[in-house]
Amino acid sequence: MTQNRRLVAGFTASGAVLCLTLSADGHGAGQYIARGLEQSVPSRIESLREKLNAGFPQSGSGAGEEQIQNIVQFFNFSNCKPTSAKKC
Amino acid sequence: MRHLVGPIGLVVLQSTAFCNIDCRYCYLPNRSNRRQTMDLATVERAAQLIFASPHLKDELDVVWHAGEPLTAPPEYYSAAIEIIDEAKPDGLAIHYGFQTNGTLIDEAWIDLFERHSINIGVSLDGPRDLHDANRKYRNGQGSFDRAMAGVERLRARGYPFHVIGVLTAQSLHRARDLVEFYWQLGPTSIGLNVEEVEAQNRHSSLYDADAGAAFDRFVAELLSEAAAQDTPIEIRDFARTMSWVVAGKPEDNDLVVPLRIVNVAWNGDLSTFCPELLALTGADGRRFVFGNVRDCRALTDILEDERFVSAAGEIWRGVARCEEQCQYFRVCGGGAPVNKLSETGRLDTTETNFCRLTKKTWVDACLQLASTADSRFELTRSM
Repeated sequence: MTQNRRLVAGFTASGAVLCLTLSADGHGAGQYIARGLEQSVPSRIESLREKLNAGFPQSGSGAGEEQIQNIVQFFNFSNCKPTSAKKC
Repeated sequence: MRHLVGPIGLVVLQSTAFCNIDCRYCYLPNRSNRRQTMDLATVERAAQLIFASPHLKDELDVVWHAGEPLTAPPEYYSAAIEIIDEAKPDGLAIHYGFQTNGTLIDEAWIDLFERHSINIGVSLDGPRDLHDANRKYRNGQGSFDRAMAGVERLRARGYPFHVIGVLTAQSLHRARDLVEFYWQLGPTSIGLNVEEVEAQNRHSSLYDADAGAAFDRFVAELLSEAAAQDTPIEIRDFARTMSWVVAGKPEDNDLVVPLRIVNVAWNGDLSTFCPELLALTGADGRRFVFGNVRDCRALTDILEDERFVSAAGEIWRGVARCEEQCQYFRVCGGGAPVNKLSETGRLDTTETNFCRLTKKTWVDACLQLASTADSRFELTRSM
C-alpha cells in the first residue's frame, strides 16, 4: 500500500511554503543516494526548477524565480516560527 | 561575490564563553572559564555600532550563543534586551534567540522567554545513549536527564522550541530512533548538525573513510521515516537545501559575505563570516578578530582592518575556486570558511568533508526525492 506524505520543504520571500509529497513506501532505507547518475547536478537542478515553474504559473515570475527569504543560514532561527509547519 | 556586504541578518553575542557541560566534540577553547562574560557596557556599544550601520534591514536576529548562555542569570538578559531595544532604530524588528543545552531551563527562564518572545533552540542529540555519549558534565555524567527536564518545562508551558542535534558515526544507524525521539517532543524544527573537525575538536567520526556512504543512507532513511509521520515537522537541513535548490543563488551563502553575520565575543572582539571563527587560531597563529567594539567608530571599520582584508581575500579566492570546480556551487555558494580552515589549514580551498556531508548529500537527497515518479510539489501561499 502506498501512503502519500508531505515533507515541508521551505519558504520563499513572498511567504510561499513549498511542500514535497511522496510515497512513504517508495524510499526504503536501502536506497542510498547515488551521485552523478545520468545528469550533472546543475542540469538536474535546472530540470527541477523548470518542473516547478511549469507546475506553478500562478506564482508570478515563477517559483524558480522566487528569492529565498533572507534567512540566516547558520541557525535558521527565522525558520522556526511556531506555526510554520502547520501552514503546509 | 566580493563586492557584496551585508545586509546584517544575524548578530551572535557571546554573553559568556563558559559552558556548564563539556561536550566531547565542542570547538570552544575557553568553555571552562567562568570569568569570560560580556558586560552590559559591551552590549550597549555593540548595539550602537550595529544600529548605526547602513547595512541593517528591517529584521534582525540576535542570538546568544558560543558558550552556554543560561549560565548568566535571566536578569542579565532582561537588562541586555532593554539596552538593545532602547538603542534600536524605529522600524527594526529584532528576534531574540538562545541556543542552549537546556539543562538550566526553569520557570524563571521561561518567564523571560515569554516576555520577549525569545526563540529557543535546545541542543539534543537524540535518545539517552546517543546524547550522553558526548554531551557530558565535567564529572563524566551525561546531561540527558537535565536537558529533558528543561524540555519538559517548555512543553508544560506550551513554549515553542526547536532542537539541534549533532550527528556522529553512532547516529547513522539510528534514523528511525531519532525521528521517533524528536517527533514525540513536538519541536517546531529539527536541525541536524554533523560532528565537525573545528578548533578544539581535532577528529570527527563522520570524516572516517567509510562514513560517507553510511551518511547518505542515513539521510535517505531519515527522510523516509519523517515522511511517514502523521505530523509534519520541519527538518531544517531539508528545508534549507530544498529552498536553495528551488530558488537559491550563490549569493545566498551568508558565510562568505561580510556583515551578513556579525559576531561579538564576550570581550567585545568583532568578527564576521562564520561565528566559530572567533574561537579559531590558524595554524600560523593568526586570529580572525577584525576589531573591538570599544575601538571601532563604525562597524564598517572592521572591513578595513588588515586582518579582515587578508582573510576576506583568501575566502573569496576559495569561493572562486569552488565556482570553477564544483557542480554544487549554485546551491552552496562556496562553502563554510571555518570548515575549510579547520580541515585544510587554509581559507582559499574548496571541498571539505563538511561540504560532502552537509551540502552534497542533502542536495543529492532532495534531487532524488524530487525526481521520483511518485513525488509532487505543492506551493502554498501563506501571506
